Amino acid sequence: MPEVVVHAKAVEKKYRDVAAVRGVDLEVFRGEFLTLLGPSGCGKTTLLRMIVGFEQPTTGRIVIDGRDVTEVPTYRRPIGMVLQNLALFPHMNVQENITFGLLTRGERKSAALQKATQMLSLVGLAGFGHRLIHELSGGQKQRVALARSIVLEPSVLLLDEPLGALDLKLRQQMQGELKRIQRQVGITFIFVTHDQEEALTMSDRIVVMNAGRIEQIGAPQEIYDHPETMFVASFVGDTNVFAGRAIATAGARVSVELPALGQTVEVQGRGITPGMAVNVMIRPEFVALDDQPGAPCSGQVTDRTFVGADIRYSVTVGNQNLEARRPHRPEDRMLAPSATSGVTIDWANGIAFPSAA
Amino acid sequence: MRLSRAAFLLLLPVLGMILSLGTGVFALIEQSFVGADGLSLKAFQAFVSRREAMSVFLYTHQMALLVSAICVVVSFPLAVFLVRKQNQAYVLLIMMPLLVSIVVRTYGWMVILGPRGLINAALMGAGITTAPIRLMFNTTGVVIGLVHIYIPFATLSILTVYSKIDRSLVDGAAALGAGPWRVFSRIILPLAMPGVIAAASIVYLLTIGAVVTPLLLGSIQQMMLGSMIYDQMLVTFDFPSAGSAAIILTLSAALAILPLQLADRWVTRKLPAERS
Ligand SMILES: Nc1ncnc2c1ncn2[C@@H]1O[C@H](COP(=O)(O)OP(=O)(O)OP(=O)(O)O)[C@@H](O)[C@H]1O
Ligand SMILES: [Mg+2]
Repeated sequence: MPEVVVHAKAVEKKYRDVAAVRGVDLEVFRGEFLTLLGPSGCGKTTLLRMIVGFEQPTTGRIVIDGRDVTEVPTYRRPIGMVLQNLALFPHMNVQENITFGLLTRGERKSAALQKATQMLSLVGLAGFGHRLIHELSGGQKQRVALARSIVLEPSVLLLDEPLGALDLKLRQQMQGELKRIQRQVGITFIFVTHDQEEALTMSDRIVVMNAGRIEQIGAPQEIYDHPETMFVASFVGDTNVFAGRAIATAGARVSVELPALGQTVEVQGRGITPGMAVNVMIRPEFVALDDQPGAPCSGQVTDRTFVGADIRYSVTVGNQNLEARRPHRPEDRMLAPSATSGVTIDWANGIAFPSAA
Repeated sequence: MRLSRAAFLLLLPVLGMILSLGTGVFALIEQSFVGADGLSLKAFQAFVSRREAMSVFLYTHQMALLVSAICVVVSFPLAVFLVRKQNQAYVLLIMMPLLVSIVVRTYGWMVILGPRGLINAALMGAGITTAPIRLMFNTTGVVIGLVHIYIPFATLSILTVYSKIDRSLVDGAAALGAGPWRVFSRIILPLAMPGVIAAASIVYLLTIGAVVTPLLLGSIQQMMLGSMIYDQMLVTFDFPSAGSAAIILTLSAALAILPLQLADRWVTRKLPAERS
C-alpha cells in the first residue's frame, strides 16, 4: 500500500452561493506525479489553494503527512507551490530567489548558496545565479520558480498550470524537463492543467474534475481506455458519440440499438438496464475506413486532415458525423474528400453510458 | 518627437512664467551676493556666524527629519489599509483636508491644542491633570500641525507604489515558508521602499519650507527657517539676509535629499527600468 502524503477529506468550498469544490475526497501517494485535469472553472485552482492553505475549506479536512493542517497557515505546511504567474521576487536575483526559503528556514548562508548552485544545475541554469529576474526568458523563469520550491524538499509540490504561458515548443520541452526533475528529486507533484494531452503524457495518475467534483481517478491509460463517465470519455481524447437504446445486458456487455446506423451492436457498459436510453462512445482509432466490400455500412468522406503520423477523416454515415483516424504510411492511398468508403467499427471498444436526460 | 513650428508658440506662456518667476529669484540671489561694496559673500558669512541663525538652521532640519519619520510611520499602515479596502471613498476622505487652507487647519489645531482647548479641557475635566499641558507654541505643536498637513502627501506616494505590488508575491513567499513578518520585511517593504523614500523626500522638503504652521503653532524663541525668512522680508525688510537664508535653505534641502535619491537608486537596482 503506497504511503499517503496528502489527504483531502470531503472538502467543499463555497464562495457565497457558488460551490467551487463539492465533496472532494482525494488521496495523493508519496512520490507520484498526480495531475488535476478539468475544464476551466471546474475548481482545480480552488482545490490546490485549499491544499496549500491560501484558502480555507468551507467543510472538510486537509491532511498532509498524517497531520491535520486545515487550520495551519501556509508557511507552516510542509508544502511548496509554483504559482500560475510564478511570483518570482523581482527585487532579488536568481540566487536570492532560490535561497529565500532556505534562509527563511534559518539555514546558513554558505549552505544555502551551495544548495542553490546544485539546484541551478539540476534545472539547467548553471551560472545564472546573478541574473536578474527581468533578464530571464519565460522558460528560464519557469525553471527558477521550480528550483526555489524544490530546493526546500517539500513533502508535496503543487503546480498550477505552470506551463500555461509558454508557446507550444517550449511547453513540450518543459513537460519533459518537469517529468525528469520530478523523477530525479522524487518529490510528490500535484500538477494542474486543462490540457488533456499534457495530463496523459506526464502523469502517474490523473484526477479528472468537472463542476467541482471528481469524475474519475486513474492512470492515464485507464482514464483513456476505460472512462467511467461520458464526461471523462469526451474530455480526455477524441470520441464519437451515438445515441441509442439498450436492448439487453450480459455482465459488462450491453446490446444497444443505434437508430442512426440502423444497427444493433454489442459494447461495454455497466449499470445499464434494458430499455435505458444510452450514449455510446467510440474513439476515432476504432473506426476503420476501407473500400473493401462487405463493410457493415458505408459513408462519405467529408474532410481529411493530415497530421503527420495520423490522417484524420470526417465521414458521414447516414445522418451521423463520424471521426476516423488511421496511422499514415507513405504507401497507403489517401481517401479523397467526397469519396465513398466502407466503414467498419470495432464495437468491442465502444462504451455505453446512461444518457443524462 | 518633432514639433511643428506653430507648436512652439504654445511654449510662449511657459517662457513668460519662467521669466517672471526667474526675475524674482534672480533678484534675491543678486541681493544676497551684491552688497554696498560690490560682490561678496558677507551675507552668508553673517548667517553662519550668527548663532541664532545656525540654531534655526539645525532646528529646521531636525524638525524635517522628525516630521518625515512620523509621516512615513503613520502613512504606511494607512496606505496599506486604503489599498486593502479597495474603496475610492476612503482615499477621498484622506484627500479632503487638502481642500481646506493650511491657515484654517492650523487655527483648527489651536482650538484643539490650546491651554483651554479641547484636549486640555478634557484632561482637566477628567481630573487627569490639574494644570493645562503645553501642547502649543512649542515643538510638539509644530510637529502635530505639520504631520497633519503632510500625511495626505506621504500616504499618496506610498499608496501609489504599494498598490502596484503583485499580491501573488505574498502567496509565493508563504509557500516558501515565510511568515507574515518575513513577508513584510523581505518582500513588501523592499518593494514599497521607493514610495517610502518619495514620501520622506516630499515631507522633508515641505517641512523645511514651512512658514504658516511654525509661525502659528511654534514658539517665538525657536523659529524655523521658513518663518525666519518671512520675518526678515516682511518685518525687518532685510532682503540680503532673507536671500542668503533662502539660498542656504535651498542648497541644504538639495543636500539632504541626495542620500534619499541614492537610496532610491539602490533599492530599485534589480528592478526593470520603468518604461515611460
Ligand atoms: N475568490 C472567488 N470568489 C468567488 N468565486 C470564485 C473565487 N475563486 C474561484 N471562484 C469560482 O469557483 C469556480 C472554480 O474556480 P477555479 O479557479 O478553481 O477554476 P479552475 O478549475 O482553476 O479554472 P481554470 O482552468 O480556468 O484556472 C469558478 O466558477 C470560479 O468562478
Ligand atoms: Mg485555475
